[in-house]
Order: sequence, then C-alpha cells, then structure tokens
Amino acid sequence: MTFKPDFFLASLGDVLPAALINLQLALLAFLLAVAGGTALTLVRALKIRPVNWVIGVVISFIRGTPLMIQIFLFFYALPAAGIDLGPMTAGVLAIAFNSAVFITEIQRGSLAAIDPGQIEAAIALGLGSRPIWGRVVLPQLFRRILPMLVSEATVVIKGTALLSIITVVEMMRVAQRVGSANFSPFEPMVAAALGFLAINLVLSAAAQRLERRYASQRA
Amino acid sequence: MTHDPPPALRVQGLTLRYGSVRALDELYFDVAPGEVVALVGPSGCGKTSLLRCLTWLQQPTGGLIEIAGAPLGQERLPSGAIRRQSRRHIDRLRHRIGLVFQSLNLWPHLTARENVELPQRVVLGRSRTDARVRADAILDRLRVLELAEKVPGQLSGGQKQRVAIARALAMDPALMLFDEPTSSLDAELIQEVLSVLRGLAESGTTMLVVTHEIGFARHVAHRLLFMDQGRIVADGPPAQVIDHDPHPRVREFFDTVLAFRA
Repeated sequence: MTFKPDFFLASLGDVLPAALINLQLALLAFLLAVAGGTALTLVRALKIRPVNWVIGVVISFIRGTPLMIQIFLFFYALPAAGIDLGPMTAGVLAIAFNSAVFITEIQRGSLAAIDPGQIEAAIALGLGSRPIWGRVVLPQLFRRILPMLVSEATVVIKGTALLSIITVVEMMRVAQRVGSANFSPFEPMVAAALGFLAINLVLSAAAQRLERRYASQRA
Repeated sequence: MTHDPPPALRVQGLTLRYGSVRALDELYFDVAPGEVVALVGPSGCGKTSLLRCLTWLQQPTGGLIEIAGAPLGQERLPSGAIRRQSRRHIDRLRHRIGLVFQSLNLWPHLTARENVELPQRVVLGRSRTDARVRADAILDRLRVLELAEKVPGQLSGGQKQRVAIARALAMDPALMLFDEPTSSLDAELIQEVLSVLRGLAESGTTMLVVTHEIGFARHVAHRLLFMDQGRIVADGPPAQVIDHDPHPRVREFFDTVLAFRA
C-alpha cells in the first residue's frame, strides 16, 4: 500500500468540512450530558433509596456496555417502542446519555471532597437548598472536575465518529465514502484522524488556560 | 408604661438526647441585648451541641429557643401545644443568629467580599449595591477591607476569622455565637482575635463565646456560664465564677487551668 500525497490533500478537502457536523453533534451531546449528569447528581443527593437503586442499575449498564451498542439501541430499539427519531437525534441522545452517566460519576467523586462545614455555614446563614447548590456547591464542583470534564468532552467528540454506523454523514462516514469510491481507504482515514485530533488539541489548549485561571483560587 | 426589649436569646428547657445520653439537659438562660457571655466547660460538656441547637443545625429533643422575641424551630401555640416550624420559616430566622464556626467554613471559591455579600443578597434580598456597601463597611471595621478581593486560600488564619465574623455580622444578627474562636490559632493570633472580639463587645454586639481563654472570659465577658455534663452549673460575673464559685467541677476546672498559667 502506498500513501498518495495528492489524493491525501484532495481527501482533506472532502473530509474536513464534515468536521463541522461532528463539532455540532458533539457540542449538543456534551451540553445535554452536563445538564443531564448534573441533574442525576442532584437527584442522587436526595438519597431516595429506590430511585438511587434504579439510577445505579442504569449506570452499571451504561458503563458496562459499548457505546456502539447503546447507539444501535437508541436508533433501532426506540422506534420499536414507538419513538421514531432521526439518526442524528438518536445518535446525539445516545452519546449524551452515555456521557451523562460518566459525568454524574465524576461529580459524585468530587462532591465528597467538598467540606461539609461550608454547607453547614450556608445553612446556618439561612441559605435554602437551591442557593446552596447553585452558589456554593456546583461552582466549586465544576472547577474541581474541569480536567475530567475536558477529557470526557474529547470522548464525546471521538464518539461522534461512531454515528457513521447509523448513517449520519459526518467526518468518518465521508472518509469511508471517499475511500471506497477511490479504492484507497488509507488517505481519507488519515485526513479524518487529523480532523479529530485538531478539534481535541484546540479543546485541550482552551481547557488549560481555564485551569490556570482557577489555579490561584484553589490555592 | 415601658416595655423592656425582649432578650436577644431566651432558652427554655433546651434538651438534646442521644439515646439515654443527655448532651443538653434542660437548659434555661437568657442573654440580654448587648451582653457578652463566655461559655466555658470541659470538652464534651455540651458547649458545641448547644451552639448547634441554637442555630438549628442540630434539632434539639425538647425545649424552646427565642431570638429577640421570635421563636426558632418550635413555637408554643396559644393552646399550649408545641408546633414545629417549616424549614423555610426557620431559614428566614437563621440570619438573626450569627455563628462563627471553629473551622470558619468560608466558601473557598469566592473572594472575601463575595463571601460577605452572598448571604445578604440571597437571604435578605439586598441589592448588589447595598450588599457591597454593607460588606465593605464591615470589612473595613474589622480592618480587612484591603483583602476584599482575595480568596480564603490567600488569607492567614486571623484574616479568615475576621472575614467569617464579617459574613455573620453583615446579616445584622441579634446575637453572635463564637465556637472556640482561638482554639486553632498560635499565641500571636490569639491576641489579634481577642482584640477583635473586645472591639465587638465594646460596640455593643451581643455575643455568646465558647472559649478556653480565661483572660477573655475575665476581662471582656460580662457573664460566665459554666457547663458540665449538659447542664449549666455556674452562672455569674466572670471573676466571681472563676475565683470563688464553690461547685466542685467548676473549682477543679479553673484551679487546673489557673495552676498551669501560674
């Protein structure tokens, strides 16, 4: 197999524009995941036994099965239950659901590290549970988990490549098409890899800046 | 006809039981407005339990608490029955008691000024401007205004303590509670904190201070309560209790403490 630079450059031109689709899908999925994961954390903090048991079962299912299967389930199983979603919607929801589970687990770990005395101080001053979560706990929680949240975001971005299997036309699927149309899968695949890498490098750089800004406050 | 103002704090029959252990055993006492009360006693005597009950962080098993005439937590209905208040009702009264925790418990993600502003805005509904003006006035009075933009991680123990005091004072409490304000500080800082407390006392702030500082109790407090095994066993002018109270537990405690200092 030879690597043809001309074909590679041509593939870049075909593949990279589709990165916008991955970016949009990932952004939407990640925002839903953060909201959903945080909501799960809030619900779990109520410590209602049967509710937490159900959430625990769902968490172990999501953590213990491949994302690819979860995407298939959302795409094929939900329509069977009468919920017909397009491939994009089903795909975004599957990734968001998967990621929400990882985010709530990350949050649970860091929640334990927040000194309960701070919450007692808030209670003693008369803050209700809404401002305690909104103004005291969550802002600290998000600062603490920022590095883990960024690595979760890269997982989400890479996860959008899996949506090619349910016919979403994104970078990976474009690369596959270009590859089979030209009987040369290698160059377009490298082009797609570079596309994902570029997005994640930009993300990491931005995250590092943000972390440095908070570093002084955590000292 | 004149009405005396209600006591800043009235405690009637306050009891806290853990199973058969009585952490607080039917306490009765008042704190008058402007009074500075030192609460002294051996560890495990119930001092911290008392502060936690007075702020309703711990629900007492019995008895009534009134803050400046307003019942807190439970109230007696005209029929004589006792009714528990809703969490929301209690939250609205809590700012009337300012508690300065032993561990201070400032919010580490907020600046000193934001620590003082946040509860004013959320609980009292003060505007951004009003809360800031009030915060800066109190930080200035406690001589930490120049540190207003710092987060707690950048402050020394004594500075953090002043910010924690400011946070509680900004809520205009009828009573300030201090849980061993000098216990975690070195000798130099102890003097610094005691002078802050002395300043508050001189400006008429009503205070109940759990302390082991006999000097503070003797020279700043107007009154000394001595607790042992969940009961108040001595209550009087500090010098009187420290030097002459005949109760054996009181004598044992102060004779030991004073012997160490001599």
